Amino acid sequence: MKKIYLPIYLFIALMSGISAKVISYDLYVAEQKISPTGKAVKALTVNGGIPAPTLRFREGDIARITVHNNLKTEETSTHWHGLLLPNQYDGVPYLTTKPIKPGMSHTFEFKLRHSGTYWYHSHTGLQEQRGVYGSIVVTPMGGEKVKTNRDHVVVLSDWTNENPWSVMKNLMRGSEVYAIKKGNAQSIYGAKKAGKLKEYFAREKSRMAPMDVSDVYYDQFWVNGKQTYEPEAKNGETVRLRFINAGASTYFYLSSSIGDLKIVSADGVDVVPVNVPKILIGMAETYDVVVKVPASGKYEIRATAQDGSGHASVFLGSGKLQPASDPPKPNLYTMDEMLEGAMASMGDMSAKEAKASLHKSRPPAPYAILKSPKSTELPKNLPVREVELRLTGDMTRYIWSFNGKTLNEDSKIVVKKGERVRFKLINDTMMHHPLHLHGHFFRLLNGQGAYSPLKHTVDVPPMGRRTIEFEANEEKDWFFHCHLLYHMDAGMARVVSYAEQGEDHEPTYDPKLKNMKMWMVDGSIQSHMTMGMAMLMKGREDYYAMWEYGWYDHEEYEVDFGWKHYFSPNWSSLAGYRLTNEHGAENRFFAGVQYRLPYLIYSTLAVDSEANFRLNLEKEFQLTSRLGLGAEAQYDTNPDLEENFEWGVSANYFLNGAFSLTGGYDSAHGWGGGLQFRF
Amino acid sequence: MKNIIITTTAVFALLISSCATSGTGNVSGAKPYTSDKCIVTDNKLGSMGDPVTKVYNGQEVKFCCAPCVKKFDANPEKYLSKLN
Repeated sequence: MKKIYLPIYLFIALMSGISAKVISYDLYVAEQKISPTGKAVKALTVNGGIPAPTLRFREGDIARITVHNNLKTEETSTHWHGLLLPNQYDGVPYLTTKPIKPGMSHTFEFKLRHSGTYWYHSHTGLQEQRGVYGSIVVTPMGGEKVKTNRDHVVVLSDWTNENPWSVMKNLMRGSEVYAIKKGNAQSIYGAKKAGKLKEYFAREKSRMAPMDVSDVYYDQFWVNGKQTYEPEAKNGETVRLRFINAGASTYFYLSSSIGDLKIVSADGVDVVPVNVPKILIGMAETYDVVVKVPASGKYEIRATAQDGSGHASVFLGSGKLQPASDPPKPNLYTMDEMLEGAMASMGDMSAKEAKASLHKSRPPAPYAILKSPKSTELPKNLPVREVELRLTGDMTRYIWSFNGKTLNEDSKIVVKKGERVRFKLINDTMMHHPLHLHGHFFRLLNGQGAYSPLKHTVDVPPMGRRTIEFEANEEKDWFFHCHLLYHMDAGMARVVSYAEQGEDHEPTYDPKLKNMKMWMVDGSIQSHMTMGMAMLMKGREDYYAMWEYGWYDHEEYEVDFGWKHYFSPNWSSLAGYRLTNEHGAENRFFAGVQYRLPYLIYSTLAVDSEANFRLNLEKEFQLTSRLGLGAEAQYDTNPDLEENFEWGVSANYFLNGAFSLTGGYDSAHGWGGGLQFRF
Repeated sequence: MKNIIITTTAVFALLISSCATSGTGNVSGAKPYTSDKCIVTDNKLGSMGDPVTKVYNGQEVKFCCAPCVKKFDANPEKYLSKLN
């Protein structure tokens, strides 16, 4: 009997070897100048373009991809987003795969275990923002279940002419520059115009920072590297559009002048086809959408940035243009929309209400109606590990974390092979966070029971919550993080670490994520004085030199060299040494606390080595989006000072990210005006 | 000058005291709210600015933000059941 079966086994083994076709690609990452807005800026390209080429495979193929790093000084990496593959090919530098050093290459070889729409991108620093991303299409063995006449990839992305590290610096300094550029900055005048003055001051009283739905201003939004894309699609044809949100920090609303969009797949996995008028797609998510181009006319499918600051378009068919429309801009003076989205996410609505919410002008993610065509239930006998992860952060300081701790402060979530791992994700912030788990598909528990859809990335809306679960059926370490690129780099990440590696195992990850440092200088030079601060920010620590030098009727200076530690949005401690020539004062050490009072008034109380106390109060009144009024008062108990109480007021007009006009009165230095600068 | 100092100190003291009582203290006579989470959204109190407090039928309840009070008022029993 054995003799009969052996040739059959050999035949099957041989055939499977033959059918597993090896598909090879070479990808060259290089720096080059591009001019999408007319101004030449440095970008990173793959094989000379942005986005990188589409990698096409058939389910069961072997991918052999060699990534060549043609950068002069930077490392790079490539993560195959959404694909299940051996750990060493996941492409997270230092954690799973060695970084690709300048001038070096790395070959990835893995089997395509499943079909769908996926993508790839650099996982090094902020390279993804600069252009290192592309699409992957894996055709099912038996062909697509939903047949269409056409099949096109649509890579959505956001483009800034600014160096992404400069973007990061602006975010960390708490600048309102991007809100102003987007027209989303909150002000007293804006609140009055919106009829929300009461809400504006109530928010300030409760010490809540102004809301926004996105962090960064972008010069352009792209579909496949351009603002418009016209793929081949004739009137009357059906078209599958594989939307991939490769944006670094932009959610998009997809809407169409054709009418409803039919979702047939989410994150590469088939779902029961369902029609929706609009889709909110988060960073790193993918949706395959099918539309039928009407018999005549040119139709638009528009991807509008969630903050309403711009859009990109796909056009199908030919003839008279039928434009799609943008959703209304968000009302940032009220939290009502945010709360509705949160309630929808936490199952507080009936299925009917949740479905109805998708017909709103600014709908939530379409999760309520996503349903797997087959059961996704996990084996019932698996032991359950439940992990509560609160999404936490502070927009002003730009620290993002889980359970109040950054990746650097708490790096891993330990799981054991064979467990059913359930993450309860509770968003304690006012921003959306698209969370991505590497190396696993998870069930999104959205009320569909056994038919819960499988995903690799889940949007957790502001104040909302989601529950996901997966079988721990892998090994080693896998990254789990917010796919808003700047949030990930600011600490909102963990390593899902398999316990089988031993209790002492500590995951290694990119040292730049561990010790990100940022230098900045903010100050002013005026006709009567100069003041400002040079600072090195590192995690929760600030090391600074703060100066004030006036020359109005006499020369007077004060320079503090200090260290500030951030505990929470309301509390910081500080300590340092002060140099001064102020009459009656001496050089001295000081230590104290900074506390944020209601109405967002910053107070600092410090004691110095001469046992004198100093209290300082500061407040900014944002009159219009560009015009602000600053007020400062200071009382020092030093009995030798000529003036114990000092105060000042200034009006500041924002010109651009680097400069503002300023003018005002300072009780020690008199009247004057000049320029504020930020570098 | 003395008046300015007195006024500044008074304003500061007022703000500190308003801060100390905004949403963190117990409303006298009411059954205290012992959770550190919003009764409507389960968000951590303090995560959306200072919490908001109200008393409903002798029970103190706390919210992460003012809009949650409206949600609560629309169906108080539903949310109060979380306390049991």
